[in-house]
Amino acid sequence: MQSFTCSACTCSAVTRTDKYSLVVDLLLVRKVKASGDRAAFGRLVEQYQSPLRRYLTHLTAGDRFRADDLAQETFLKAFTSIRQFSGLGSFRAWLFRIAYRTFLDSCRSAKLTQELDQVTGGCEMSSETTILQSALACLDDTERNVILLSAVEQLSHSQIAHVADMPLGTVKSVVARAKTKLRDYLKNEEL
Amino acid sequence: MKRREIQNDPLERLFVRAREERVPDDGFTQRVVGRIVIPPSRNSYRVPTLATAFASVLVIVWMAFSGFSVTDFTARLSREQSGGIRLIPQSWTIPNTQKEDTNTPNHADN
Repeated sequence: MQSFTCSACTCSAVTRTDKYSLVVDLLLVRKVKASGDRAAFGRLVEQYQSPLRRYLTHLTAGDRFRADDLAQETFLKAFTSIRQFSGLGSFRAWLFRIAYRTFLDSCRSAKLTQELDQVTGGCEMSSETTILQSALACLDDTERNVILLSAVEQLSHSQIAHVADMPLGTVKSVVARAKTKLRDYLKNEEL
Repeated sequence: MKRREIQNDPLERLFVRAREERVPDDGFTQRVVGRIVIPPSRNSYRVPTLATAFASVLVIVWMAFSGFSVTDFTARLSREQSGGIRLIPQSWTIPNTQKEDTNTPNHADN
């Protein structure tokens, strides 16, 4: 079943497949909470490693090695603090929140001054991904994070507000502003 | 957004392609799971504690019902003049039931 995307906002309605996935996630999380079940946590890692690494790769401007390190750290933090996950919200959003915090901490500690218009190596990217990376470089950190979570990872606005720790109204305006900037960039680059 | 609009919008096309991108696992999950350190559970301390408590209760009950006296025991330990320390109560010793055999050469009068 495909997800339905309305034109008024970029949030996606929860489909039947998504609901099933939510239930499976909660059962696995419960197992991990109860007994530190590594196999159950392994299944969660297997399920979320692709979107999480993809998200972190975009955040780190294509640096796959750094993204993988951050993703590993994120999953380990998630395991040790699994009891703090109440189970009321989405596990996906909770995981992305940890990932974003981990990314911010790494930026602060490394004091990186990486130029984001330079797409770094570490992975083979498709031409579209390279174009997207270049376009994302014209956004500020907040806009980049929000648009990635919204348009690529398809989190709802309320989930993004939880991940990025900002009001819901701000999320909506940031998404709109980011899309405008990206469209202008693509128009100027004639893409 | 309708499919036609997505197809006509270069930005939406980029987003769709980005969403379709899958990162292969390549052992990532194994590496993460291998690094997990499970902290000792709170229950791991309860079993020895409960076992010690249970053993202590058993000892106290035995002391109460066996007529064990601490003062007698300490007196027995400090007695050196009786030619040895009797740690086991006399009631526990097995009485010698072997009868004297007067027909044996050792016991013969002649």
